[in-house]
Amino acid sequence: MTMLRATELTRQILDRPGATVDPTARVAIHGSVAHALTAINAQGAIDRRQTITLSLVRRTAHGSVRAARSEPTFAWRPAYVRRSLGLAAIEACIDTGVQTPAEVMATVAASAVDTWSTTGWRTFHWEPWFASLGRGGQAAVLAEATTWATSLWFMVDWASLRGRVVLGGPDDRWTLPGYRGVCLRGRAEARIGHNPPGRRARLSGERRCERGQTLISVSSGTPGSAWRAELGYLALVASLRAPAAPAPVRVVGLWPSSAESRIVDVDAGVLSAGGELVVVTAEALAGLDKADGADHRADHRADPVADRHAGAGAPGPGPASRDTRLRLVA
Amino acid sequence: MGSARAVDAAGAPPAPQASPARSRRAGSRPDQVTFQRSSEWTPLTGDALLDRVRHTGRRRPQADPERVAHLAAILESAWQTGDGTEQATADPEQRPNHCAAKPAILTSERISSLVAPTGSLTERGDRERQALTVPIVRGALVRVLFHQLVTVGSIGDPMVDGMEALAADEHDRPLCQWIDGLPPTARDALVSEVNCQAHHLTTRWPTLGTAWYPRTGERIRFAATHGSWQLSASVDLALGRPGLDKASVAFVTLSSGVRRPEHPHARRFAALIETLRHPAPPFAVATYYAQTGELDVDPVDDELLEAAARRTAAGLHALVASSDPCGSGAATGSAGAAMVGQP
Repeated sequence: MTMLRATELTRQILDRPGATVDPTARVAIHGSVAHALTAINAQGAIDRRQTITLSLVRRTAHGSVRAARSEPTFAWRPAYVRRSLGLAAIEACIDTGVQTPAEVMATVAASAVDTWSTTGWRTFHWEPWFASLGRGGQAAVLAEATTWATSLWFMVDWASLRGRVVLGGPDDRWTLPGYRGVCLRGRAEARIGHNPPGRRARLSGERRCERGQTLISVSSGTPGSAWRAELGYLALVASLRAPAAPAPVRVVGLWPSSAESRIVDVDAGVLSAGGELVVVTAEALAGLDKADGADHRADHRADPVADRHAGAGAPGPGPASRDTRLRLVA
Repeated sequence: MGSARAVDAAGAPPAPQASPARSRRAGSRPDQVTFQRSSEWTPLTGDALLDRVRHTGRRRPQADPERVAHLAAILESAWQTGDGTEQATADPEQRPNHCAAKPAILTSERISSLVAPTGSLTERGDRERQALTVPIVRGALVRVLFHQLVTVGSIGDPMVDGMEALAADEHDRPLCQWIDGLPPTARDALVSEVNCQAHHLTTRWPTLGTAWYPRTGERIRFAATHGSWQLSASVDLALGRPGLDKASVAFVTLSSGVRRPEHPHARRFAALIETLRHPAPPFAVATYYAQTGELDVDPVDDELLEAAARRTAAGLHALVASSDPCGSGAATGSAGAAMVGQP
């Protein structure tokens, strides 16, 4: 599949959404997710706080959830800064009308560091780390962010979204009520509001968006076979986080390195598919904790999801997951 | 036709004008010629260097869905037929989709190891993956310095800047530790070589205006429709705006060492991925040798793309027939692996 032209993709992003989530179905899906996670938690299967992210969901599907959890402590590196810095540069391009993020990247980075150093704001973000780097390290960060942002800049006609798009911002988070064990986190690189005609107010959040938002998610690599459910996961987390606000109406996935895009209009089926991924991932984590807790044999079996997939010969939830499988309203 | 070394510092026509003595090189297309260096040869500098990439003397290819379909079909056919024997296609264990949960990732380096005669490139590639060497760390240092030069327009103390850039990424810190552990004489030699190549880069490469849309270390990927395999590459410098109907992108890969037979294959492999992922192919792919200032440029045409697809298909073919098609160890798709894998 080849890349959609930026203008064509932008038109599709802005099209009136074709599907909506019935409020009753939405409540039922929220309840089903919470019920399934509660059931997993109630078995004592998850013995520590877990944050489920889209990355973890994908790695679970690939059978590498154990590797994901055993990764070393977080440390800043250029690849972790490129999103924040790159999105800020794209925003500056939209606001100022310059032609490419490369023109503003260094200025945006310097401005962010200045803001941090004078106000102390964002002390736990990338700015202090960037400021601590020497010339070569800073250049590496700028190079990474410039390449990331420039590739993204070409995929969408961002300039035409001026006043309608919010870039970056905090992640959507939802914690299972009554338990501290599981937290869902969804990250969208951009959000676009859909309002009735004549009410094209600049939006900054769902409260000012009467017809729900379009979420834009940017990933590395290529879209996998579960892309629809993965985009549904992002919609689900946003929906859970703000149940009183309109649910997201559309999720757009962008994969700049393969120049691919996917669009899904959010309906009950999409939310349910996202919920299924949550449960499969939580079960995989619970399986790890169970295995780790039962004994600490060095040679215990590896990732249960991988084993399950190996047994079935194909990806997807196996018998173990069907016990606590969501009974979702489609 | 094909790759030709840049020969003139004063912006002379791109066609080689030096010695007419021709030599056929390994990895060349049948009609490709390279030219031996004449005594007055000097590397291209400044705008002439960019012009050599930009003006190929060919009409730039247009987007062509049929071309893309044809190339994809070559690759898919290789994947589906496995090793071509009836036994392989009949045996469920040999069927191509046993990487369904985790796609096989094919890089140019891996293709080389799959299709090369036993005992040559395969063994060398394995050795290089296992142990750091001076050429590998020199390549990593010069590469990050080149990215710095393109991005911020200058290089300070090359060794200091290079080490800082590597240290900024924990994946590359082992290189810093390895360099720090070098004996003084070896380290001095490395510093001298890096300084020399950085000086060449700063004096020969012009400042790239933002209208070139320069991207450094760009990762490019193409995935089969069914997701069983992916092609992956990283290019040191991508120029031009992608996604247009007419070829508008050029790739430059940097080498801090000498010519190798796999270099043309690597840049043509990148051309193939770009063609498959975007409507139009790149108009040129090049390898720049920082040590000498030589620039090998391939104008991209259907013939080049077909040859790249055939070679990649051979790699896919061999991959399916291998015992480790998912390639847990050898599939070096990460940028870091690519960075240290090709000096």
